[in-house]
Amino acid sequence: MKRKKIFKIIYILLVVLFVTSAIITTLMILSFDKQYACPKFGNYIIVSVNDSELSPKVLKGNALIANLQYKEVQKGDYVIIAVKNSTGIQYAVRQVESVQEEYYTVSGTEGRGSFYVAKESIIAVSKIQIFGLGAYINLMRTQTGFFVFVIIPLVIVIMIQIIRMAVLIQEKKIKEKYELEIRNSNMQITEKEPE
Amino acid sequence: MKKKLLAAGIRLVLGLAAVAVVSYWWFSDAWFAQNQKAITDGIELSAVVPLNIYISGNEDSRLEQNLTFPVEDLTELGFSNSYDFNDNVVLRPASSSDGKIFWYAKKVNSDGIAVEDTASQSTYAMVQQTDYAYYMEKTVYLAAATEQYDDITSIDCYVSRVTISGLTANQLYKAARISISTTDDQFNETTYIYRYAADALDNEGQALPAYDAHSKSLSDPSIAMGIYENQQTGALPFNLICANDGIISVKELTVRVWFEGENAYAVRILAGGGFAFEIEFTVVDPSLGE
Repeated sequence: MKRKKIFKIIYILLVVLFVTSAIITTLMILSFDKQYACPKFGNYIIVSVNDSELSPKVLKGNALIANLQYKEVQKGDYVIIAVKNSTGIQYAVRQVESVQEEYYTVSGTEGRGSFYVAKESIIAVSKIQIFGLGAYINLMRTQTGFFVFVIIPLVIVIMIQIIRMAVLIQEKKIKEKYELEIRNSNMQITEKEPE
Repeated sequence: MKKKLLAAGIRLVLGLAAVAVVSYWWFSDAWFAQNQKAITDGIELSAVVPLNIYISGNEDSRLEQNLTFPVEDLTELGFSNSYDFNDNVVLRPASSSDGKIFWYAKKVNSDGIAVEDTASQSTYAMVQQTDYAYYMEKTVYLAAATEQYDDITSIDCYVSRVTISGLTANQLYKAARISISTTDDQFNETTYIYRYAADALDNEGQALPAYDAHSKSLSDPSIAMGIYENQQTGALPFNLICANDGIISVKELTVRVWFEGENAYAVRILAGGGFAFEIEFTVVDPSLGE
């Protein structure tokens, strides 16, 4: 009985985890913007942080919610710079060190000094970060991650549902059979009573 | 019992609906990383650089004449983090052993092999420098946007990847070669020639290029295309000067593309179609102490 209860709790936890994960993945997929190659909600994009350049202020694996329609950039802002590489478009997050008329100076890459960035290279400005979401998005964008965390749990849930339905149908049949037997025996008893 | 069965049935239907939805995601490529390269004719050249390096293929005379410019002109001079060039040029087969001087065969046999022209008693003729019927030349400019810091005044970089892919079904691209030339502070020029190779063992891109008007080179000087680590064969090294109080220094790189005429794929039957080169530049990581 106790084991059954533990199994039920684990099952509920896994279902909740899977449903939450599926909802987040669905939201990310439905809002995925091909132009920006990331999820986009209105004027905001969700950018995964893929390096530790701004650690500990901005951690690798976090996600930044960045405004594409920003009005101005101020010293200390986290700016998103689009970089093309062999795998497609990637975003780099840097902190603005100074604002000039035509360009910004941003914090350097690992072991490097600060560098200049043309104002046009800044595609968005961020002030909000969500812990772990970047790593989650990156994982779900791989077929392996999607297979392991969406498809496999979904197949397991369906199999459990099929088994539960089969058990319930079986239970129903046994119950009906039992009820019929009781009814028959009751009828036999009532038939015998007048004698 | 009926209620329990109904609830289980609903859960099963929802699960099956979810399977249908995720199957759509699985088979659609909207979500997963993808290659959106269009099918075109001609030569495409794409170059990508690290975050703190800028590249331009702008033909602005200020770039040709001056090796420095103020950071305010960065965008105006066409500098960005990637460079794409597309040319619908039609090239005749040529041959080069140094990636700078080109030769064409005066006469070829039915197999496409150069044979001696009896009248002139030579096999090859030199291509004039401005004759772009035999090779494509493009100058690109690289600049470090990093301001001088501590005692660092320059950044070491290298070519970390050179690849070619056919944009159409034919295999002419296997005969294509690309050379990249750079000059150091002492004006010594270094040129690397890259040839097609599916992997390290693939020799489809190999051929012996013309050495002079009468003979071929004894060995193929080209390097198999692929991915290179710093200081590996193929990792063309160069140096970029850091910005000094907002003054950016420019490094000129010359890229030349041609079809190596002695390669088996440089034959008329494969003529036409398009192909794309991709070059990636990388900064030497200072933390590795290289």
